[in-house]
Amino acid sequence: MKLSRSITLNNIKGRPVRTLVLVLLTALLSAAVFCGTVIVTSLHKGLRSLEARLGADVMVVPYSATTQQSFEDLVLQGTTGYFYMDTATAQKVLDREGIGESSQQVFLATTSSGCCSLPVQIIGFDPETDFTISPWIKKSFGGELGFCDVVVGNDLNAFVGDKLKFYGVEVRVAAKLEKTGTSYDTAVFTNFDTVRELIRSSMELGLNNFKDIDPDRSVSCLLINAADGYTAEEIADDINIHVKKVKAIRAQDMISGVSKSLSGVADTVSGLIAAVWVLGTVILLLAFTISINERRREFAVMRVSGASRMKLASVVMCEAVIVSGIGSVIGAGLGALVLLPFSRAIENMIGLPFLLPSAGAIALYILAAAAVAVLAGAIAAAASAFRVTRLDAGLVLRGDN
Amino acid sequence: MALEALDLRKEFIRESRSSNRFAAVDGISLTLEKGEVTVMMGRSGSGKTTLMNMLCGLLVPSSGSVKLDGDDIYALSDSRLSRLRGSRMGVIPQGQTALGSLNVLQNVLLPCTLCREDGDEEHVRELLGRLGIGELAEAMPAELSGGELRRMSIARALMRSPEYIFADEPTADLDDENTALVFDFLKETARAGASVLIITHENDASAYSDRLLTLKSGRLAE
Repeated sequence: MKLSRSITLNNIKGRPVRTLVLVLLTALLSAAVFCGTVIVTSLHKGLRSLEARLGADVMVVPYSATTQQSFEDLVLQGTTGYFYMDTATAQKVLDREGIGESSQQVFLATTSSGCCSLPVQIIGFDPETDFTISPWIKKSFGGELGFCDVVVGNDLNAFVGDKLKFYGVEVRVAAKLEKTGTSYDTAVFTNFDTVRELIRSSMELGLNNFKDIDPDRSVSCLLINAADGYTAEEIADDINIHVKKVKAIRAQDMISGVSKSLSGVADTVSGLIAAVWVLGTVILLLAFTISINERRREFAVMRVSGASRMKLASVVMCEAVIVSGIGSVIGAGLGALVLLPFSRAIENMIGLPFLLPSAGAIALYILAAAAVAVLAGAIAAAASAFRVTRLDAGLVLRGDN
Repeated sequence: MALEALDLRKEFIRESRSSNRFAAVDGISLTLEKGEVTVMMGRSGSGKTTLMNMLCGLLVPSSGSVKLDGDDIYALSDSRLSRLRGSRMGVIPQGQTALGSLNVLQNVLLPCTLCREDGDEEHVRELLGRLGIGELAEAMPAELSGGELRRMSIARALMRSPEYIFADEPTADLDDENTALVFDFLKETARAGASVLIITHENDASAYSDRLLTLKSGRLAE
């Protein structure tokens, strides 16, 4: 390898334009593989996060929430909204057979008017029974939420200790959630007492669309897990048949559309990665072929000077690995520098749950993308290396071949 | 301890007429003795370079054998034959043979680099000095004239003090003064124990030869 390196390094340094072109090609290849992989992974991670966020087999909301599409948009798109059913109706649902775990949530949306610090979705939950939000909150906040304490989503411009005002009520930011890649990132979470106080205040200010509700006897959503021996479908069907003015929705049904869209986007991106890889490999193959053809006489001289066929091949392969190695690291690094700061813009553009992998995973993807680009360079050079081993030095030096 | 060619024959097929086989070298037997300068002459296309390429292990003969110390060199594996060529043979091919990305010193050291040896830079500088290009050791090939490149190629072939030297038109780009210098040098190398085969069109070369061979249509003409 020492022999190959010394000749190769001189070749690389001695032909800067050719080296630059090969480095740029592998950089492009590496950047495309890295960015594509991160996008696909982020989409899958976002979907898993969304599934975890839903966290229940069945969700039950007022029927009007589904006819206006507001509930699905609220969960999947992060749009703000609120709707209510009385606790008596909720109890009818909970009295049905097959109900296992259950918890209630109360929604309220703030506005950007002077009453509120931020236009956000507020989700009130019962810490005693909750099994969907608490696991997320526990990652950032170990304590208990007091009256007028809130936990803010990761994308909100509010930080622990900040005071926010919603409908004239001042609340304190007790914690900030980790990034989830879902509509949780733009929501505010609090306990039942606080959200009911906020609803009362919104009604007093005349800013609530629901004029006649009793905040203490209203809930927005029931989250239900099926008891053993029952399926989510059976429970949803039973509720939809026997309880009026509500709609039971299976979580799986809700995310199936997202899942399909995500599969479509992921397949497209994966296809693009494969196409770029193949195209890049073909271009590299042509570049190496042209480059090696130009140097046939030099390889013949090496052969005359004592190089075996395998040594000639190792010179070609060594050069390809070094050049594509440099290009691939540059490409993956630049890909990371460009992609990571714009992940929010990509998320908005795609309109699907999007959660970047961890820093460790991203570092691994950089290495993997670099390895894939080096592999492409090596495969492209392998054909040239093989041709070099077949070279007839005598004929090449005579100029007959 | 000689290099011996036995009934060497090399056939090619003319591409324009695939059925037309012709023998570039047709049944040549010869021995290259240590301490001798053998000059081979002949018209273009008479098979001189083909014969030399077969003698130095670069071109597999259609039939016949090349024996070194009694062993057929074409029975060796490619890596062993390459090692043998790098260590015991010095080949000066036709035309320019510089590696463009290496300077003159690195070009001359190439056989050592290929054999994973450091190479003796002082020896290289001495060789270049003897050939009249000592001041060009650090120059790049693109900065050299044809004659200077030719002498660099000669220095490379002699770098490892080989036992067998094959020179194909070594003075093609040289003026009379440098032609004499190169022939003197090759003669001196032979006197030091090497066997030198020179292919040339220079009539003056016969003055330096211990043996003069003439090739005609792939055969030795007495």
